[in-house]
Order: sequence, then C-alpha cells, then structure tokens
Amino acid sequence: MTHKLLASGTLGSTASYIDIDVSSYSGYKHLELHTYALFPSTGVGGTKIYFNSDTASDTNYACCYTESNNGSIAGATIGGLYINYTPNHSSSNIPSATTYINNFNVSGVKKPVMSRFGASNMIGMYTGAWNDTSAITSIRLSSWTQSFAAGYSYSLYGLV
Amino acid sequence: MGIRSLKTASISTGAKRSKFWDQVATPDAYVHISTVTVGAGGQPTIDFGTIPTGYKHLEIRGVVRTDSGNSSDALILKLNGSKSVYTHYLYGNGAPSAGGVGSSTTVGNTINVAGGGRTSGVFSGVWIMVQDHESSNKYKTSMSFGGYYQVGTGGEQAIFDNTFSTTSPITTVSLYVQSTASATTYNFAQNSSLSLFGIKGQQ
Repeated sequence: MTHKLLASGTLGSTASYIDIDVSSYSGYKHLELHTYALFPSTGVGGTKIYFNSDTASDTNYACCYTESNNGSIAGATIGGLYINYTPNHSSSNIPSATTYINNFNVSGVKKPVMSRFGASNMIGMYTGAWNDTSAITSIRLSSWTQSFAAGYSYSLYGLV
Repeated sequence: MGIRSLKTASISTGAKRSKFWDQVATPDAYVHISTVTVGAGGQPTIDFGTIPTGYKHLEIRGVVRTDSGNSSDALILKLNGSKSVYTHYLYGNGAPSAGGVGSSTTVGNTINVAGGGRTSGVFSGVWIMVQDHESSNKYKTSMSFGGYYQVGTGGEQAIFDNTFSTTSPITTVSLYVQSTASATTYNFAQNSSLSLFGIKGQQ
C-alpha cells in the first residue's frame, strides 16, 4: 500500500511529549504527520519535533515561519523545529497541522521538515531542518510553553 | 445477493464458518508511480517520462538541492514539455519585512529550493500537486509547498500556484532547476530525489 497509516494516538491525560518509533518503517520513503493540538490552559501553546536520540536541546534544529493572524504577514527565524503553534489557545482556537518529512530514512540529507498549520485565528507555514544526515528512526513531539492536554491527537502516515 | 468481490476482512475462516458479505474491495487510491534519485555528478532534469493513465490528480514529493553557487534556485515543473505561464506565491524567509506575495509570467518557478551555495547536506522539502491532469478542457494548475533551512544561517519557505497554458491531458512530467534571476540552468545535486504519485478519483 502506497499511503498507509503507520501510527496514531490520542492522549488520555496531560503529557509533556509523545514518542513515535519509526525504526521499522524502512520500506517507506516519506512521512506525513497530522496533529491536532490541545493544551491544558489558554494562552501560548505549540509543538516542537525532535528526532532519534537528539532530544536534549534545540541546538541542532531551527526553522523559520511565515504566518498571518490579522491580515498582515509576519515571520521570524527561531531555534528549535516547530510544527504547530497558537498564541492564544482556547476551546475555539485549536491549532492543527500537516507536517511533511520527505526522504526521512536516507543518509546524506539534513532532513527538511515542512508544516502547514492553522487555527481559528491564524494560518502559517514552518520550514526547518534537523542538522543531521542520519536516517530518522524515532520522532518526539514535544510540548512548548505548556504541556499537551488529554485529547491531543496525531496520525502518522508512510508513503513508499 | 451477488458476490462482487472479496477482501480478507469479509471472510470468516474455519471448517464450520464461512461468511461472505457483499463488499467492493477498494483499490489503493494513492499509488506510487515512480521515483527518481540523482546519483553522483548530478543531472539536469528529473523526467518521469510518459505517465500511466487512470488517475485524477498527481502529487510529487521529495528533497531537492542544486549544484549552483546560489543560496536558492527555482524548481520548474514542465507538463507535456512546457512550463507554467503564470505564477503566484506567498513567500517568507523568517525576516519580518521579507515575507510577501508576488507573481511572475516569466520564470515559471514552481517552488524555491536550496542551491549549492548552502552548506553540504542542506536540501529543500518539496510537495507539488497537479489536479485534474487528465481533463481535456481545463487549463492545468499546480500547487506547491516547500522550503529549506540551513541551521545557524537561515532558510525560506513558500506556497506557489502555477497555471499552464494547455487544456490537453497531461501525459509527461519533468522538472529542472534554474536561477531565480536569470535563465541559467543547473543540475540537481546528488541525493536529490522526487517521487511521483497518482491519486484516484472520478474521471
């Protein structure tokens, strides 16, 4: 099957991160990750992504974004590799994202990561990279500013 | 009840249990057609050749880098041998003042990609979709999303929309890279790789 669900889950309680093992998916070339982000409190919330055992710091990750939440375009370059974000999470302002990790298990390529994200009051895109050419064998979705709430869900698809 | 087709979920096995439901097995709606990976020395085009028929949409995913000395270059999609005639894009590179929108009727840029002036190993992620490509009465369009980042230096990102001047069914797909500022063409760098997928739909 060309496009297959590899893993999915929904948090039953608050957590600071979610780990996904992709070491057994060497038969796939590209990954596509869908996230529906819930946070315990109102305010800023987001998700950063890490790979393999390189989870201790943001040193080897960075991204830039272009977003709009008021009709004008804003952008910035930031350390860490973000895939979704909201400046003011609430029950009616929930960020979701589709993230592309192409050629995730080839060597020689510092893995580019692209995300399209949005919430009820903003829309944007992230592109970033992991500064490492290793094949990706595991993914960590890490909460930023505040934890993930119960109900945070993800689905990971593999493409040959 | 006629049995039209079977799939394993419809079958109960066992000596005394045999149950068949009237189900239609759905073939894969998303099909890998071809992948081209660039070897040592690079190559000037990624050519998927004549594509099989029977798909509603096409999708291209992969990673791209050029062998130029530039920070970024233009990845250009050709359908039936021709590039697009109109481009519109939303672009950003992380600088608050640099983001914006634009359009072009000359370059035919499908998405900006990392040039060879970037540190070794920096590649762009690329996603391109061509909708309703087998139609014989619609001008063809593509949507693209892509970008790259060189950790410690910077990157860029964009979404592009391209319009092609043909209403004919698309039978060939190829891509090449050139300068964003001139007609100078380059090679795809080694390890660049693009996969072409076909998506089923009502024709």
